[in-house]
Amino acid sequence: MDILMRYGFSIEEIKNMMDSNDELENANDQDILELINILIGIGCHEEHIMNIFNCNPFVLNKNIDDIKDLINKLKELNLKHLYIVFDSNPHLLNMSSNDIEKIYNEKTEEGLSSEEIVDYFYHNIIL
Amino acid sequence: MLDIGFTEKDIRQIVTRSSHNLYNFKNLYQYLSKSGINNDDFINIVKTVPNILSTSIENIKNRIILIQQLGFNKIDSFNIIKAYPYVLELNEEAINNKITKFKDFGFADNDIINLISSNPTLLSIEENEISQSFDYFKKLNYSNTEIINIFNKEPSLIINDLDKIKERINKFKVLGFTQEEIVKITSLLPNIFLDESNLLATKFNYLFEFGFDEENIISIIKKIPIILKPNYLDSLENKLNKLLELGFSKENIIDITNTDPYILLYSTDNLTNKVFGIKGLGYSIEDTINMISDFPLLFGYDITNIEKKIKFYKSINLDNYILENSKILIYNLDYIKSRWNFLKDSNCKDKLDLFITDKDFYKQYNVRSLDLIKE
Repeated sequence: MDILMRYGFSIEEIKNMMDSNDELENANDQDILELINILIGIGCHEEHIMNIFNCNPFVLNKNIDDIKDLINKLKELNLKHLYIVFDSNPHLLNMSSNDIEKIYNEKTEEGLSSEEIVDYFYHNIIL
Repeated sequence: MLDIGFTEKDIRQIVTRSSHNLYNFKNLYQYLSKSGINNDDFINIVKTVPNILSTSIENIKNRIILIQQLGFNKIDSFNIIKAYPYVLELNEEAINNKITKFKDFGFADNDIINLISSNPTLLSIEENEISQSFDYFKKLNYSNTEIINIFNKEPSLIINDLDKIKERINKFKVLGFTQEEIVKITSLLPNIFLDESNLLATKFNYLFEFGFDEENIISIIKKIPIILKPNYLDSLENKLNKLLELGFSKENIIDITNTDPYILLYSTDNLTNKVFGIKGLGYSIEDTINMISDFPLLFGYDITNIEKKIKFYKSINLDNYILENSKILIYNLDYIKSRWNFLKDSNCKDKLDLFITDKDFYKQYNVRSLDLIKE
């Protein structure tokens, strides 16, 4: 949890995260740092990271390789400025690349074009 | 021996089963008690493997060093001896064989150490018993990786009663979960297979009595399976009651939770602080409840994030529109500001074009709004 405090989260915010995610105490500081760096790499600033972690503390226990796969899948679908997508929909980070593939296939079956599916990710709550 | 707690019957059995040579009893007792083995455990060890009474202390120490060399720490080594005293009779090859069989199933070295440390009786398990457990889960469409994850999280499941596991899976099926959904949930929370109190039914029934319908409850559990963990039971009731106390109607609560089930995982303090945080930005409690009811993700967003967005919309005279359609608070500020800067310069007549889809924005203005965002 040191890394979260050093990043600027208050004790109250960390407590709220731990109340929601009882596995947070098992999260590794190195992994959290790597996650922060990945999010910075896709354009997140501090305010976005604060928002994402406060809204979705479960991402702090997620496997880093799974997050990288998720990001690659979203890029494959032509989503740009992914920090915008995650800032709007922090829980999207809990999904796997397979989940995204499933959403894409479902929307395609509903008749949406690729462009409309990309739009869907920016304009809707996705859980 | 009687002073330590052996009964006369114990002593007769030990003498019969051992080579009648108890010369090492006192030294063995002293060595193991100094290492943390209490009288009851010592009695169990000697009753299980009475021949160690004729084994030299040096040999026993070497056996313990061998176990430690395999990767177990000192405490775990003695726990292994307590739980599975037969290990004191095994040679190096035999102990290695017992560990190798786990590797054959795909367990990593560290996982094996953790598995056996947390469940030393696994050393007694035969290979066909592990196969049986693996095959059982494979027939239920669990992948090898999922099976290994399940056993790593709950090692006792390797030797658990397969009928009980089947019974737990059936409980999910009766409620309407598909096999695929059951695999996903139980891979994440294999402790469900050990749950004697039937938390699944308890939570399901609680939500049902509150007013959620079956389909929605299944959807909630699918999205946030960790709600099935025991520590989320009391808090589930507290949260729903807190939302009622804050002014949300039952219908509101059901709607917002169906939209965003993660609300059930936020603490009551967090829920309360968010409501009053948004109210503190200049809204009545009624407006706040309406805003959250229309856009439940507001419960999750950082209050600073919400505040900046509201401030921006107020600066462009869209504050009333927030009350009509609080979902506009979903948009990242960079996204909205870049659109606004473009629309200002384009003499746009309708500010609500800020919120149209990118496809419609392109149709209207021949520009891709995502291209307006500076890297």
